[in-house]
Amino acid sequence: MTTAQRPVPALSDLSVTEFLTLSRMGFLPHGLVVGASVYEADTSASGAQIDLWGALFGNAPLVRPVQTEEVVALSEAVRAARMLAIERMRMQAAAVNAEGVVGVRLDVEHHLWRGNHQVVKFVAVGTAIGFDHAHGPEEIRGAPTLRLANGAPFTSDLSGQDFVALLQAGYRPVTVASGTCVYQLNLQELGRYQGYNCEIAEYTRAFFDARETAMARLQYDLFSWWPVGHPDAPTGIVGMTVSETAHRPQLMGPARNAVVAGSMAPVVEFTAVGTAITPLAPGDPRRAKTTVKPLVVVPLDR
Amino acid sequence: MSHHRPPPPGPAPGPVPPSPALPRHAHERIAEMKAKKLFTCDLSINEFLLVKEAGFDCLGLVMGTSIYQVVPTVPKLEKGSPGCEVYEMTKALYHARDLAMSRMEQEAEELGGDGIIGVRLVVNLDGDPQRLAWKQYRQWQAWAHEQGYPRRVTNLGASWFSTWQRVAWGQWTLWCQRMGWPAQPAPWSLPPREASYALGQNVVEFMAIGTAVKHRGPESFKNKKGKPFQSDLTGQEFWMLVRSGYRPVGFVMGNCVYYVPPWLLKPTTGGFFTRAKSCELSGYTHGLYDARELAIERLQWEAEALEATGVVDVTVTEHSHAWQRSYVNLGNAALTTGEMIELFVIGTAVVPMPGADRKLQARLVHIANDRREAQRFGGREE
Repeated sequence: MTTAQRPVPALSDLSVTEFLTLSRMGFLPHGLVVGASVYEADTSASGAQIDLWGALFGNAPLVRPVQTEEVVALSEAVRAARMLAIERMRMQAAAVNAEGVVGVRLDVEHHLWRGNHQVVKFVAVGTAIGFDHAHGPEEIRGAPTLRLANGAPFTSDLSGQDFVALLQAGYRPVTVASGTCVYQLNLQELGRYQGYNCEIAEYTRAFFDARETAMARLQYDLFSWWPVGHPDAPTGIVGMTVSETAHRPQLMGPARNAVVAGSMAPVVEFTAVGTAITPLAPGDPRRAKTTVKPLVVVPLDR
Repeated sequence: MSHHRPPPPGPAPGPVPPSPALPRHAHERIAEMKAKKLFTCDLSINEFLLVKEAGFDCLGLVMGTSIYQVVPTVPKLEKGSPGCEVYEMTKALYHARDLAMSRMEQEAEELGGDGIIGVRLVVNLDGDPQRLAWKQYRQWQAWAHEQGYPRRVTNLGASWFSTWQRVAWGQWTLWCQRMGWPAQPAPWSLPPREASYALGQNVVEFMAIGTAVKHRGPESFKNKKGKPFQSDLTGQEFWMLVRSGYRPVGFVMGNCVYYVPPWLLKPTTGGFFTRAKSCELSGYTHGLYDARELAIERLQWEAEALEATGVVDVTVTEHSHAWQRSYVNLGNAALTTGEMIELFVIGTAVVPMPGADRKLQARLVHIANDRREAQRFGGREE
């Protein structure tokens, strides 16, 4: 990885349109940056729990049945792994002297490794870009840097066009933000609902709460790093999505029938992802002088 | 006709009442957003800027969900009679969507929004264990045919659900031995890319998610019922609508679950000396026609209740939800069990804004961008 001021042959996964849009604003790609982290989803934290201490000295039952609740240990692990992948990508971008990363994609891959290890791989890929003061357009040459207050590059999952549109509207991206919540479900609950046309209240509460928790954690993390009043404190999150993936305890062979038939608790991971944005520094020449007027066009290409 | 009743969104009976309130974390999230003046939205940058241009501010991502058990009840009909609506199921499916949407509305109200745009109604059928197993079963079959196993070995017939794991596992261990591999999980037993959780048979998740917006001016954009409007319009469509002098007042929907008995699905067979002719299955046509009209009629009633002058962006969808008995021979099974179809119609009701007669001028352009590229990178350029 070169650390030159402007590495000439820089890799990027930008499309031609994105590249041209960015270069018109004086941004050049500095290289493709990748951050990855691999962790083992230890599903033993979920499912029925044996509480020997509680049974001997407390009033607790020996085997605590599966409950519909959050699996905090897994939530923490997934959060740490995701943060690590993004942080490593950010470090790589800093190494190529970039101002930020655009077009970040967060990929999650589930693998089943030998010995029944359920392994999850997080990869963050994006294109590091930097502002070229010498070659940028005349009127925005003196624009201040878009780096964060501590000198770290920003990250965003915006495309090149979106990034430029955002700058012209007077905002800059701060970071790719994510929040996670892992929930397990008690399948015994369904027995109560045999033969009814009705809502399954406990599951609704679980799914609703899990999604809300994921989004609330995203906000909480952002404000714990950049509290209100900090120059990088986010004013909004754009392109937020909440998606879900399932970590089912995997068994090998015909025993898997038990999982399918539902005697083991499914574990569902909810993830909220978005890009945090904040207003540009006052007097930044990149802010468009006049507000862009939208045009209604009829495309002739079909 | 007697069965033309509107589906009331009234509660369906159940052992546990529907969960009444938003979860605690929802209140916390909304309170934090209001306190720290943070907005969240799932709009693209173009949509976000257009919503601002239209005079609205994004407030936050709002959502509601409902996990519902829909039990299939096949009506007992006399042989030869026409199909009918399954009113209990119509009511259940309507109620499930209504619960999800009213929870989303509740969140938007708590945020102080005038409306919700970009609403997506997601129906998640993946809770059905048989549907999940069916995908894996098909994956194994494809693999087995590749290895040269004949179809009479891989086609397990009606009892596939209970037997396929054993057969597949036997073949896979044999394959592993032949290749000299240690025992390892088969490719079809790996976790799928998309979420899958076996909630139970006939359990469906309905989710509504959208972005709450608020008008910057003093004018309130709430609808006649004093609630924030909901619409499935994208940011671009919303901008165009507002700029041409209309405003959305709410989502309107109608649905109808219709049962088509098997005798209506059978084509007429020829006699001993005559051949079967190509002809219309008029009973089937009539059934579907009736169901669609019923659904649209209900949508119209809802629009009238909101005093809308029109409904835009109406889509008609036909679902065959997870209540099929088995995934074996899905197409032909209908000939013996009949078919159960849900017609679902949804649209955005609009009213003209008083004193607004701005006319949008459209311009013809040639687009030099590569359309495929635009799609690949998710830039919504069209």
